Amino acid sequence: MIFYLVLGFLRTVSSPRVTLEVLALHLVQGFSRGSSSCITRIVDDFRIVVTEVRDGLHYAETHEWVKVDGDIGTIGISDHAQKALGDLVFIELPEGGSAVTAKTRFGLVESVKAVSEVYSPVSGEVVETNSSLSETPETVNSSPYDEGWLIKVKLSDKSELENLMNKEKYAEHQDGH
Amino acid sequence: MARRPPMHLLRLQGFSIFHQLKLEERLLRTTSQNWCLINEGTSPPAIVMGISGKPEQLLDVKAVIRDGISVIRRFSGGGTVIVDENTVFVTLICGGDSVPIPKLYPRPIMDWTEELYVPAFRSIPGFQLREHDYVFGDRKFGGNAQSITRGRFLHHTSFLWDYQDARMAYLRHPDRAPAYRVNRQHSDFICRLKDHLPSREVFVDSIVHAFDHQFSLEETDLDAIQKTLTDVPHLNSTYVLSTCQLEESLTQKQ
Repeated sequence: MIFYLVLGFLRTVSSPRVTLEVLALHLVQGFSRGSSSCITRIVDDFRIVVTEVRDGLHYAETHEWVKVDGDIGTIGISDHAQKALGDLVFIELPEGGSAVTAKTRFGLVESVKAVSEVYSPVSGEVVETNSSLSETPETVNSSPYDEGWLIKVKLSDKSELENLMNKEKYAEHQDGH
Repeated sequence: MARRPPMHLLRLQGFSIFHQLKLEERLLRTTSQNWCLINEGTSPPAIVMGISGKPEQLLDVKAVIRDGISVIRRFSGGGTVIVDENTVFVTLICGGDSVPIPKLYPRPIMDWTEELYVPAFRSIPGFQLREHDYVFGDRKFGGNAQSITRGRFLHHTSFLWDYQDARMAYLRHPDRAPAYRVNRQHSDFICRLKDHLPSREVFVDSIVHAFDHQFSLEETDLDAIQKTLTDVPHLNSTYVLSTCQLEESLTQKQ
């Protein structure tokens, strides 16, 4: 009981908006059906609350980021997304030379039991894919903004970047979505 | 009382698991409605692998080829199951705005399904979601998998009403296994629903009743569904592995 209260307090302090109601829900569930799943949920929620939002990137509502260098955009998923998805075990990426379109699926990630789609923040042509992820998909979890990049795209319409979010706006967005 | 979102209910018996998965993928990707599919059994037996499954790692491929067992790769994540006339399949396809899940990610969806199923298993002690499996105590009786697309998700479960140990022998012990399995053999890790419930009919009815708490169920049939489905091109990731592909897998590093 005290453990749940401490975890709940830490969670509320770090993201006050979040959830006295969620804490209450977890406590009721814990009492009614055993503590192990209750602890898992509270810890999972806490992990997701503490995330990195990196400066200098453009973020999509669907939690992908793009880093622009000249005409090339490097695309990955945010720290929030990788935490929420869980341990990644498989990543499917498009082939080099294929076209991607903004807000359209370009690949998928698999985490233990679930396949989730990833969407391109921008349009263009895939010029490189991170082939290391076929052997070590967990790199996306450990380094979502660096070694865990997914694809590089030659941008076809830089004005699409205006539809994306900066660090501050994305930080607000990830709290609500 | 809060308004319950509508959900179409399709009940099938002995329907081909391959065609069921194709239909599920189509309903997920091309419709905006909520669906529940319940299929009691499939024949002949088949092996169903998740999207990234590798036969050489997960199956006794030689035995599978020898005995002519179909191996299907499905569009959702998760592990490998062998299914037959004693498997009960339950699938939920939902829009995010129809469920009390703030974020459509795997864990919150799994947790929500646990709540959904509680009324169905109230008579059986020890029901819970353990890591990603439905268990009674530490014995798994249902395997789950999900596919999440923008604003929608699919969660399907293969329930072990009964099973044959000989068929389970086609499956190898996976490299990735839940911690609570603790290296137990398959037969020590899973259990049969028929040992806990009086009949399959009671089981299916209890699931429908449980879902009816949260959704307004409207029963439909295959013909009605086919008439409403449009010919929208969609991603089609479900297929049967050919014998050639299975033989090729034997040459892969395990």
